[in-house]
Amino acid sequence: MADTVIDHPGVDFAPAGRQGTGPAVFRHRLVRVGAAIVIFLALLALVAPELTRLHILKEPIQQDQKGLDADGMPLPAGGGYLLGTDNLGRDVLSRVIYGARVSLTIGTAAMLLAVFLGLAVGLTAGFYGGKLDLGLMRFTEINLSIPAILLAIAFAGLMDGRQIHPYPAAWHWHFLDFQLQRGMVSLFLIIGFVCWPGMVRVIRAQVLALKERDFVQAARALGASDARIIWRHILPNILPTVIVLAAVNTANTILLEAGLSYLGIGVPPPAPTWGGMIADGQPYFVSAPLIVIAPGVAIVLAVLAFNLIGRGLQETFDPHQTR
Amino acid sequence: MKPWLTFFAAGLLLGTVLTPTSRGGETASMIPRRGGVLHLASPSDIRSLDPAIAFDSFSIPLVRLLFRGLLGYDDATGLVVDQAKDWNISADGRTYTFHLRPDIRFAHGRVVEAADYVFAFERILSPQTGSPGQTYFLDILGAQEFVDGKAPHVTGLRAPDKSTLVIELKEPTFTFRYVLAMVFASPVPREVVQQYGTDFQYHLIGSGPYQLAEWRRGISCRLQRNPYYPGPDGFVDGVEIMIGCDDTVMTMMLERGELDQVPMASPAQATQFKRDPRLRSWLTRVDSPETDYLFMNTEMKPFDDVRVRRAVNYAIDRGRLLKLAGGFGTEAYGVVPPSIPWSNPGRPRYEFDPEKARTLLREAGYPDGFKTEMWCLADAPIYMRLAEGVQQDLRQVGIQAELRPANFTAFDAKVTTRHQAPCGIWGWFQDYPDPSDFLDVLLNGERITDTECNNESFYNSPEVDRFLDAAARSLDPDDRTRMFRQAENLVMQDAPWALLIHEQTLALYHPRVHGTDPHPVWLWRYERMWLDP
Repeated sequence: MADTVIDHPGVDFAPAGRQGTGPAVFRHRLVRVGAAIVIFLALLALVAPELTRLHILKEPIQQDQKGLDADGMPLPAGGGYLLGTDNLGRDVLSRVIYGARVSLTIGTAAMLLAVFLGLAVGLTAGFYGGKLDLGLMRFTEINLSIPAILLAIAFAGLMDGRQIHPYPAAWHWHFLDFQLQRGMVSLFLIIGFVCWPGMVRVIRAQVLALKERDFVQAARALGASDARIIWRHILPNILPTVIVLAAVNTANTILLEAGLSYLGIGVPPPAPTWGGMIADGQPYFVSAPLIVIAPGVAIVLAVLAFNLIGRGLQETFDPHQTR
Repeated sequence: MKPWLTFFAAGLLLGTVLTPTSRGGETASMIPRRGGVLHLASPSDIRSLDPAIAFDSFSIPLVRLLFRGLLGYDDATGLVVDQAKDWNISADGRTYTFHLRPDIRFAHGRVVEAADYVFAFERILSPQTGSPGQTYFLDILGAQEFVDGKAPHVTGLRAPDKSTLVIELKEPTFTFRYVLAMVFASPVPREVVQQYGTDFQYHLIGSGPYQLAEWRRGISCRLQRNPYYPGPDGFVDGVEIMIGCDDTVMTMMLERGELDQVPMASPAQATQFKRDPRLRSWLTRVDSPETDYLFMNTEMKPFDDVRVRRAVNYAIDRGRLLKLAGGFGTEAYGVVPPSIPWSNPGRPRYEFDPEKARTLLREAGYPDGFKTEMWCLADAPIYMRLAEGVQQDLRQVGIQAELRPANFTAFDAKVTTRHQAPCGIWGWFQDYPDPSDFLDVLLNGERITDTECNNESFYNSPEVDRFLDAAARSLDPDDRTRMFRQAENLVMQDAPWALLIHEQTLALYHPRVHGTDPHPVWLWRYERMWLDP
């Protein structure tokens, strides 16, 4: 109990920490709206297979013979297809809903990876300082100087199905073989890996300030190890910042996933992805605009929701920054 | 020609007309008018206009504006002399003799000589050039020795005088005549090439109706008349190509009259034009001499079992696949596309029959189907669509084919390497209008190599090879047809491919453009197009 910052009155971070715990965060209007959208999308994504089993929702990858008109063009909304069909005669509504599974899963997983990497680098650099700080920060800045989307495209380009043998040829350790191929896992790893540098500077700055505080010095004087100081004193105090960063970052990871799918280097077809649906539907925008608009709206909603949550949390944790 | 060429820009080198076009008012009696500028556009930069390098479908018709050679095609697939006065082939089929026209000059004024052809052919063969056409010229006597660096010149290429060219082949090869009609076989002025070296691509001088005026890479390219070209074609004064427009922008520009042609419209765009009474006549469809297919690697399980390959053939609903391509094309039931002047009415045919497919799979020991990987080209929307269509058909009979989309480089490396890709969606555009360009090039077991193998099925049937080899040596057209038919029948029985569709190439023209009749080989000929005042 005595270890954590909330037991050190007078520390600037303490009020933030207190307000940020528990359901108090939901008192902020923006957070409530954002969370409602996310919960709605997540619920839809979760129950989608059940809805399909009950024949309420069509199979998202089923190409329906009747889903295309005589010229092979997608059908407009109506006639059994609430949002029309896509260029292969598949139900757009079903694909948008199932697309949420892909987008939210990859977005969240990538965010967690980015947060983990960002925390690891930011904490290490800020806490230990010196040459380690210098090296890590220059490395971060190099990463920051390359636009995330370009880096992600480059990594995604490597996922071409090649077999990797990560050992000298003479060794025959075939159990280490793996294939670089596109899929949910490789995509979240790529996105997570290109998104972490944005967090490092903020985290490091906070750590730099925190480690000079009296309670940290006191812990050090009492003989606490570095790991204990980081884990019990520093981490809880930067948590509010990390949560805000994570929420905003999820919006970015979802956007990045949609961007990569749009470019045709996301999760391979026939899996429904919002970005991929927009790319496929683009040539039909004039005759069947819903193919593009529906997944577009879904992307906007998801990104908006996470941004609202991020903004709301920021205002909750740090009332000085409110408009 | 590998079909990806189509998708990097737009496809050419194809074939046949035949779908009657609905372009109004196009009659043979109209007299072409000279003058005006033809405005074209391309989504990406022209890869090359050098006749030794250009091999993609958007570049080739443009290269033909700058470079022309010994032979060309009439309005069908018959070979005719172009910049040669006459030609003959010796009785043994090994020696080709051409007499050149004295009135043909390069754009810088010098008369084209036989030595320019010898130089151009050796340039293509030279490994330093890196020409994709090199293999076509290896049939010439001494070509391999030249390529290997064992001889300074190709012994089979001779210029006894300035206007006589003699080409001697290693052995009689019927199809070599078609090679001489490809853009690779265009003469280049040796002094200009030697002066500029690899920079020749920006100082192109040829004997075609136009010359390069300006090429701003990635922005635009402008061609102007070759003042020495004797005609009669080359009606417009110049050609301007705008680079970097996407399909939608090109279509809008065409409608506004800012462009004269959209060379490769997507099925979606074509359907929009087809449905609009005002724009319907702007659409021209050309039956492409190409075949889209699902190759199955006969050396890999489970496709090493002919029953599985036949089951896949029965599982595919070609009518539905054609619908996915907007209905622009025909269902494919043979290796050689119907646009090639050749037919094989007796070949085995696989109709859509999922029940039969399931029975065959059961017999082959796969009562519950199996899992496999299906490779496909991510850069090509039509192939992706076919892949998803085939995937669904296969799923209906229990085959779970996981799609492996890849960019061209990765796809090509994978599918042309032994024991790598179990199956995949691919296609082939003809290089010249002869069945050998499909059967011999793609399915001759003797051509199998461990890497860069065009026979993606690694299909090896000695019986088929025997027919194909005999057809390659034969100079009798009837005899060749008979042997190709037998080879195709055997291939269909062994089913290394599941045939999918033969596509149509869709072009949109502004009504002020005339001379747009499709051509069986070139698809369209810019040099014959002319504009209303």
